[in-house]
Amino acid sequence: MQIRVQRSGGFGNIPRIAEIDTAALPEQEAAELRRLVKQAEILRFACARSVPGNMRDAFQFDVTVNDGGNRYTMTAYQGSVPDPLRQLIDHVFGLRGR
Amino acid sequence: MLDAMWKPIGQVDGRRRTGTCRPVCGIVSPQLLEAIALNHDDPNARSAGLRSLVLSQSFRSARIGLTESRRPVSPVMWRARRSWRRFGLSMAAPAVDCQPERTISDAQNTQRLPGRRVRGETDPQGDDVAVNEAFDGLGDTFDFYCGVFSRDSIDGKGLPLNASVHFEQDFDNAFWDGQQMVFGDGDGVVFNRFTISVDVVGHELTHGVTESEAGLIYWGQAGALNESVSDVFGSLVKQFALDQSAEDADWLIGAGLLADGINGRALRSMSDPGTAYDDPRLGGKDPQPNHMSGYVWTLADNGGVHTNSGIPNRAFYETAMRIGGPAWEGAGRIWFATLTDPLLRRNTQFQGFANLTLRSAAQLFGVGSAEYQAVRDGWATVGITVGGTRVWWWAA
Repeated sequence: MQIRVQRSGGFGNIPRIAEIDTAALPEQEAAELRRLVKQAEILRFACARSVPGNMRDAFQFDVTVNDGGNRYTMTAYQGSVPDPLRQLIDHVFGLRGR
Repeated sequence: MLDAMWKPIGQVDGRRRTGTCRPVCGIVSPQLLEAIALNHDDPNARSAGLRSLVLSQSFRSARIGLTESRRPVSPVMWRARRSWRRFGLSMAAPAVDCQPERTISDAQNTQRLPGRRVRGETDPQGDDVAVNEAFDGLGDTFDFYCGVFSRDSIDGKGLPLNASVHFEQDFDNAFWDGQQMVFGDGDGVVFNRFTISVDVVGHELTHGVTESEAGLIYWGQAGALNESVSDVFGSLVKQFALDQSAEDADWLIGAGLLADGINGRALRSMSDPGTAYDDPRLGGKDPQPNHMSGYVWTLADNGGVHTNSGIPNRAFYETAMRIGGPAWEGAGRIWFATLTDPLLRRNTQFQGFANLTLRSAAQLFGVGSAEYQAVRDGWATVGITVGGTRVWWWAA
């Protein structure tokens, strides 16, 4: 399973991108990542959300999961990122340090 | 003011009309009053000159959207009004009575908004630098819209201005949440605190102005126009506060935001989009195009609203430089008239916006005026053609 988290937008529009392949991780970390992906329900609810309300210069988060050839992307905006997705995003950025 | 913008001009006697307002003529010219206010030996005379200038200028300010005047606001006047307010002195009632109502709150490094209230409109300065910078930035933006466009706060109806500082931890962003401004502290490595640059405040509050006017949607070209308008007026707030002409201004957005050691002058350059920075810690080179041929098609960043804003940003810069002098007086008035034009729709694209700026220039300054030419040439530099040989007529 490959996971890609991309942050764009914000006042400065400075991008942050992190990519992970679970095949390259120790089994424990790979399992944790799979758990977070499942919790975020990306594979079930892959969707794009419109910018919430009148927020401007908020961050945009695109989380793409490539699982066995199927690709799913979930887009959420700062201020309305579902908690499970937030956990996944923070975890991936934390692992990759960017 | 919106109604007045529709008034026909350039008719009958061939001279430009000034809409429905009666002319206000003073015996003593503003230039003479200003000279007295600055230079007279007698402090009472200086004070009287200042009061007279403020009062008479405020009547003129009420006509700002309509007149042929090239100098709607003297920097002496707006600085005087701000000083008078700071000292708690009342002024003779101006034609447009703008009084800001600011509240700064502390989010205390959490995501909870607005957070703890720390400074209100009449509270003195405290020790928190971010709080004071936010307070002053809101004031500078308010003074700009009031002084230049007679607009009472961002909605024109005295909307209270609220901001929260210390949002989250190491948060490298500032944003408008639909109702208030929110500032992060930056991470200290790539970004300083976001209250450090007044154009950030001007940019964010202008999103509120746009929302109460054209309501440009935050996607694609309309979104890039939304972003560009915020950069334009954010920059003008800074230029106005520094009393700079177009030639003096640096035309940079977020110049103070980048931490030491980062290879970059600012986050964006309106004069030279694509040259503001080049640093791996910022993701590489500044991605903004400076011409339609470089338009970026992407799904990120709401369809590239912060990237493609470089194109209309440069058009504004080129227009302002060709007109010369303080940018808020020529190009700024044209752009503001366009932003408040009912013909500007939520999904207007670059071409439509450019057409409207030319129309605004014609209404404000006349077809064939230097300003009209500047708008046409400004858009030409970014690959957008407006005007041509078409004659502009507009309905009464």
